[in-house]
Amino acid sequence: MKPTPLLWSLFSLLLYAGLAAAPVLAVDETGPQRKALKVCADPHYQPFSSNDLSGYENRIATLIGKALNLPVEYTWFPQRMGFIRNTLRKENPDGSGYLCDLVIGVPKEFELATTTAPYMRSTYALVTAVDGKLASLQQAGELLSLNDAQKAGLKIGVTERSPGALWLARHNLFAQLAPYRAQSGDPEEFPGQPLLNDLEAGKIDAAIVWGPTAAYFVRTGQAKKLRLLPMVSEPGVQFDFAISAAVRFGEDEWQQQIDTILQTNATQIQAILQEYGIPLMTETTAASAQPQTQAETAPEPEKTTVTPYADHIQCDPDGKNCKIDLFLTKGFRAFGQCQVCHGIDGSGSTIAPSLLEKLKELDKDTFYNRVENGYQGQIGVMPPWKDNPNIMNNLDSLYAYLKARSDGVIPAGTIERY
Amino acid sequence: MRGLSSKRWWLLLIAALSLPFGPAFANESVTKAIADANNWAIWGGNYAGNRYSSLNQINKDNASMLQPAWTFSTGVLRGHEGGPMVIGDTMYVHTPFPNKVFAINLKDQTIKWKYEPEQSADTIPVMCCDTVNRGLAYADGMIFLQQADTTLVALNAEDGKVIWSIKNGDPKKGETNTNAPVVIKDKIITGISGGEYGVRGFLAAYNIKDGSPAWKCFSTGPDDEMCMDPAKTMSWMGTDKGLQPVGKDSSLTSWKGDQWKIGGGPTWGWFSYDPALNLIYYGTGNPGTWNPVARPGDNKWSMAIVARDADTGMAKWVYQMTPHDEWDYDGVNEMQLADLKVNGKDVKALVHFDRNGFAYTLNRETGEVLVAAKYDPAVNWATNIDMKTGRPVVVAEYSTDKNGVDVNTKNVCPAALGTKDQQPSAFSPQTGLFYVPTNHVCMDYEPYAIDYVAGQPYVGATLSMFPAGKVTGDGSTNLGNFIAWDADKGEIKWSIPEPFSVWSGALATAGDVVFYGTLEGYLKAIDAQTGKELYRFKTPSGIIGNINTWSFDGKQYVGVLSGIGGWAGIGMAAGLTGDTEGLGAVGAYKSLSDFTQLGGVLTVFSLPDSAMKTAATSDKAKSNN
Repeated sequence: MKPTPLLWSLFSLLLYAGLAAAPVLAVDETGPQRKALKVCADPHYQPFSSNDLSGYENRIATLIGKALNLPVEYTWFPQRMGFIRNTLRKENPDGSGYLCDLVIGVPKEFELATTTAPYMRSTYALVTAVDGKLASLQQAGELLSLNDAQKAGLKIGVTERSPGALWLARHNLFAQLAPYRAQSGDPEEFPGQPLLNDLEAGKIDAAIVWGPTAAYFVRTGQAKKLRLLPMVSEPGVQFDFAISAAVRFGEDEWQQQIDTILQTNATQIQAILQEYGIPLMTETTAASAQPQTQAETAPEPEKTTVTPYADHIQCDPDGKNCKIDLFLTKGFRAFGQCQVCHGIDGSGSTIAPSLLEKLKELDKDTFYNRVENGYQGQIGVMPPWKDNPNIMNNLDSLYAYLKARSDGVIPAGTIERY
Repeated sequence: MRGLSSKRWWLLLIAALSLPFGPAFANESVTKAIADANNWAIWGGNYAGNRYSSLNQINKDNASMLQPAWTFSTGVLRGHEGGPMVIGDTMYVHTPFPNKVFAINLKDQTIKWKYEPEQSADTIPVMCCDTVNRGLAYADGMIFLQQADTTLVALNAEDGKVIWSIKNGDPKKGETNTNAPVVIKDKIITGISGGEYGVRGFLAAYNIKDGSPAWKCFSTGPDDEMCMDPAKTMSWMGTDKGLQPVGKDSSLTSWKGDQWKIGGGPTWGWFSYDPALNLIYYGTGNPGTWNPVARPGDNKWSMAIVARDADTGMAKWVYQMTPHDEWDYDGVNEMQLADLKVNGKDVKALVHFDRNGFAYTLNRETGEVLVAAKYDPAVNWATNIDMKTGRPVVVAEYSTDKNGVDVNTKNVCPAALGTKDQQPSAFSPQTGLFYVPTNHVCMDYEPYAIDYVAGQPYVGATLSMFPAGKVTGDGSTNLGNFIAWDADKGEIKWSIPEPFSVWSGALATAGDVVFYGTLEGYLKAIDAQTGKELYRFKTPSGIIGNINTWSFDGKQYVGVLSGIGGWAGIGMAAGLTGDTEGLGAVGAYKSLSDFTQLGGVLTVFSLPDSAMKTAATSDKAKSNN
């Protein structure tokens, strides 16, 4: 039983493809009554989180709890492969809901949960001893211009999955690559602990680790004075990542609530992150090789006489930075129930076709009919939605939204409202 | 009279059985237990991993009359792999974590004893794919259990008391165990899991008398640590070069720098043994979790079949099936040892159905590959195995390496879970066919997913999987097939489509009946010649366990553990709260729960007495002929 760790989210499709989906229950727009802010975190995960609440994610959780006027309750679990499955998505055995409702730190583009707007962007960094072999480096990239004599015997610690490993490989620095495991079997080991130990013992000359970890090394290193140099993304190697909080898929109201709190408390959060010495990047300084999104794959917008979204989108003169109005936002919300089968971005799955494609073929009436009454397709069975007010009351919005998506006018995911 | 004759008949049957490979060099208690067809004494039914029983009371004429005889709940909800072991009047049933063992008195189905180890729950987060366990081993009045936390324990078969207990690995390093150990002579052989944690795979032997270590041989690294002799360990290099010594540093030179240190090659599959050749056969898993682009080279000896001397561990030969794996095609599936006619010649063969979609027939004495053919026509990552070079001919279109990490690689067959995973096949010497549970699934590799693990964000990939019919364009939607395979011709004889991947181990019997289980929970009995379904029964949960058979008090039984889980089940678990809901049961989850629920139950089948009369009569009729 040895899958790559990347498979989880889509595995269900594999095993149960071809089966009909069931209708989603209606969303309670006011959200559940909460008695506590339930957070899942790793108890031995410095500097992110700790069961003595000394991590920066603990501090952010406290902020959110205050804003909600709720006590923060933790469920502790090691941050390893399967974390989300065993925490945010795990139901209490007594049927009283989930173990927790919020995870404080995941990448913005994380696939296993809905994420908030990012509250920080950090970058991997090269950590070296101030008086070590690499003392003269001014920038991490200067590693590439070392001569053979300087490179001889040099060891740079990386974990095998990290961009650091990829970067060293791309620049043919295999001889300098000291491999470490990406995750430890020891639940009490903090991220990068073996790298810090070996750095301090002089077994390696540098380590390329994620920003918060790099900051923690510098802050807590005992045996040697350490410093960090940020790594700079290049085509094919992304070092900087935006970090968000995560909620379960479908809990959009909750996500927006957290979003608002994070935005309102942005100054305090920045202060916390700076206190922990985390290398931070603003969006403008981030030079990452961003994932290619819609821009590349989106087809030319169709020239149709009736564009149902025409009066609901406002873009910059160059067609970028589009915002949508409440009408289309309602469509986007209704689409949340289609995502279950048709995919997060509507591009289909093994149990349902791509809506981006379908909306090109179907006329409006057929679309309305199939949503209302269901449809036996080639891939799966579309259930009827006629009894679901969340869908039926927003059918025009849904159609317009999907048409706009299908025409490539707006990207997947949350879009700003004007 | 009938009872008497049937008893005598069994005795004759037992006497007629002989070891498959000549003189009994192996542990006498094991070989005796295996030779008695009333037992199911080892995971494969015999050392050769054939999963074949010479019992024939249940046959193709009466299998339709099978009925459940008794059931037993394990009380454990996780995925139940492996199958029940039977020695004499006692059955030994294992469970997933917490790895309980029950000794059940076959006479009245009472529990003789129960063993439940204390294992730290810390082990659970380390196990990649549910906390499965694939079963027990027996020798010298002891039952051996390889626990999840790597503790290898010897229990007194009479009372379940611990005789000795040792540590085979360290969960803090990501090392865990799921495999069934195997006893060979005075040693017990076991492997290691943990590829996701960068564990460096090894095969280890411990002395059964006290658990002291005998030898340990790694999958990657320096020659001495791999127990390889550069001059004597051979590898088949294709018909051009033939069998060649592996040479000095055969692993080290196939990696860059120190990458081999977390080079994977875990050994979580099944182990087979040929007593006459005194060789152990097993496969190694994937080369760690490195991004393939960051680990150039063949990454030896990951993804390989290895033959080792049972006394010393020294490698006799090794053959790498998937050099420089880019698709996660672990090579750990079972090794079927059978004496076959291949290309018109009698061969001591090894037949292996690899995750990479090719079925290999090798000469197990030398390691020479004789046949390598796709056992699912959908397989497309390689056009064929080039017999001149011994290497797969990789199709550039399906190589994520060649396409680059930033390009979608679509319609790769098989998907990462392989044309077949660990679920072991069966071989019937009567029909000469192999019966193979398979997956019929392809995948898209979509880069630019941002993954996050243990405090590190990184650019990874999403693998989305779908029925192979989408790629072959034949309109089929089945995710699995149960096939009969001719290992000489390299051909599928017949194929039974199954809606889901077939995730259970198969069983073949002298009654010309073949058994397997399905993910929906059906136990199915089919005709070994034609594949025609003879019987099906819906067990309480999805089946990922192996079907075993034994005989007690003159009656043949067939038993299987149901209990959905394992890689399959965790996929479900992950999919349960799947895509966007969080609101309750939707989509795939709903569909799944319509079919089956979690829960470990052993279901035992037998014929009603009326059917046995028929069996006896027809036997008599046969002997009169």
